[in-house]
Amino acid sequence: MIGWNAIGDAPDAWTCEHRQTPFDAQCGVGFWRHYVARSVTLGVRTDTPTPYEGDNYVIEKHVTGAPRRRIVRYVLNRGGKVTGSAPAATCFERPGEFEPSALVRNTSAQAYALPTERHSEATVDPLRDLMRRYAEGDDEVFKQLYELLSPHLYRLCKRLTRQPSEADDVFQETFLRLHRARATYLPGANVLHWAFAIARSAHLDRLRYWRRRPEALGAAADTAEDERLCADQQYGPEAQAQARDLLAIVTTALNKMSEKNRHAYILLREEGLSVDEAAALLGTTSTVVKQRAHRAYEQLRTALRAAK
Amino acid sequence: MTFREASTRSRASDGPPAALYDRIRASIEATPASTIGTRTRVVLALAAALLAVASVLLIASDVVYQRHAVGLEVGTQSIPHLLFVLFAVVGLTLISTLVALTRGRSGLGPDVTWLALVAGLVTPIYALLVLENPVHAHDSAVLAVDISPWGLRCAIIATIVGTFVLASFAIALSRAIPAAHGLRGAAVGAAAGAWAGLTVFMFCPSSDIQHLLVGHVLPIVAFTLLGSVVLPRVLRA
Repeated sequence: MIGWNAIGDAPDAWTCEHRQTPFDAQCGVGFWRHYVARSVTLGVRTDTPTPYEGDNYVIEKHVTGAPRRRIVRYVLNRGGKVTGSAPAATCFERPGEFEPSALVRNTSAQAYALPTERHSEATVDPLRDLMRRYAEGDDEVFKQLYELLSPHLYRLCKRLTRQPSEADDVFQETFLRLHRARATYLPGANVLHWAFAIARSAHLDRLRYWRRRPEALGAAADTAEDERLCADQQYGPEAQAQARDLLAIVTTALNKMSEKNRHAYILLREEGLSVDEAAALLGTTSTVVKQRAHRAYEQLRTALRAAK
Repeated sequence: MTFREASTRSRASDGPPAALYDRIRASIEATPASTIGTRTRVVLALAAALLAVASVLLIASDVVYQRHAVGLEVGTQSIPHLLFVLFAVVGLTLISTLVALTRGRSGLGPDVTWLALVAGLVTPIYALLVLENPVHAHDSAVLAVDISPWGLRCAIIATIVGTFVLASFAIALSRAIPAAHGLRGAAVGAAAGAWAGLTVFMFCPSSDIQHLLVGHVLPIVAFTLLGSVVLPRVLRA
């Protein structure tokens, strides 16, 4: 347990358990049962600073008073979409950014009703509209498009490359390619994923270019280069130092991986893509993406164990 | 603090430097960009493919045999068999073109399984259709024209048509598939080869296996390989 609060009161109590097994969501599908009579948006409060995106959250509802105790589990994966048979969507936000708007009481359970609009959807829809207009030749929207795209793209570029200067170059090249290819944008397609694919393509082209010119390579990348952790009053210097060490270990391990495994890890774990979305972006099958990500996880686990 | 917390907090400050925007804006303003959508370009490419086929059947056939579409009217052993093979080849061409040119819902291309099927199966299916039971019998009137046992004339025509169609498809999909790779290029090449194969099937009255293999089937293999090598860079943004 990581500090999740129980929602609802006894005798019907909800608890939530945090699991870090990204592929277990699809295991035992027959176990997941749709319990609530209508679609309801489930919410979870947390005492931790930030929800752990990408992990699976298992919410168990223990129903008493029935002939036998029933346990229903909803597994919420990245983006809060409930898997299994339940169609309800959830939105993970930091505490204080949402308030339960109403208590929804059905026959035997009690849950908070949350805004159904997903955080990611709120970002994607304006992007699609802006990109469509930009593709049609409206240059005036570029600034808005840049403001929405750049944080995500820049983060991806930093993770793809090994040096900050390279990240800037790949980032700039990505926008240039996006501009040249804007008329090819498929209306309605996910702009972020499309831009991610362009960024990855730009990065791989640069890699191929430099591999043909090994004599031009500079000093080895400083793998502990990310020093822009925010100062946080909640954590002392020792905890921050520990976090930096952890980050350095993982960054080193990532830099040692093959590009294929690293890209799969970055897209799935850090950028929040589903396996199918990552497969489309990488131009491969879902099975291959899972294998590559699994290898990446294993390498990271080995690195973390060795560091301990 | 755990790694996740550290990583997530570091991500909170991941915005690009402000100076980058000015550089990007300047380079974009200096770079022209087409506003012709991919859909329009694909339609034009298909029209170009049809034009190429029609040119061969009407012009080249007239020049060589003084007749149009000789492959469809002269020396066929069985009309039903001819029609079956013709429709099968047309179907193969259309399906491979559809898969090769589609961009899927995400704009990143169709599932790789479909691309692999097109890249891997167009050649063997075409070979099976034209080689297993050749459509044509001997025809003395047509054989008065020298038909190379190596299918050189057909190979040349297939090469011209295939190159024209491949170039049209490449222009249509230029920069449209950011995730393009060798398999995608091979699928587009196979589709272009299918158009070439359809053309020579309708053009040529030969029943010689060697001729069909070299002049009709081999160009499809060549275009599939050519597409896998040349096209990915063109298709990517």
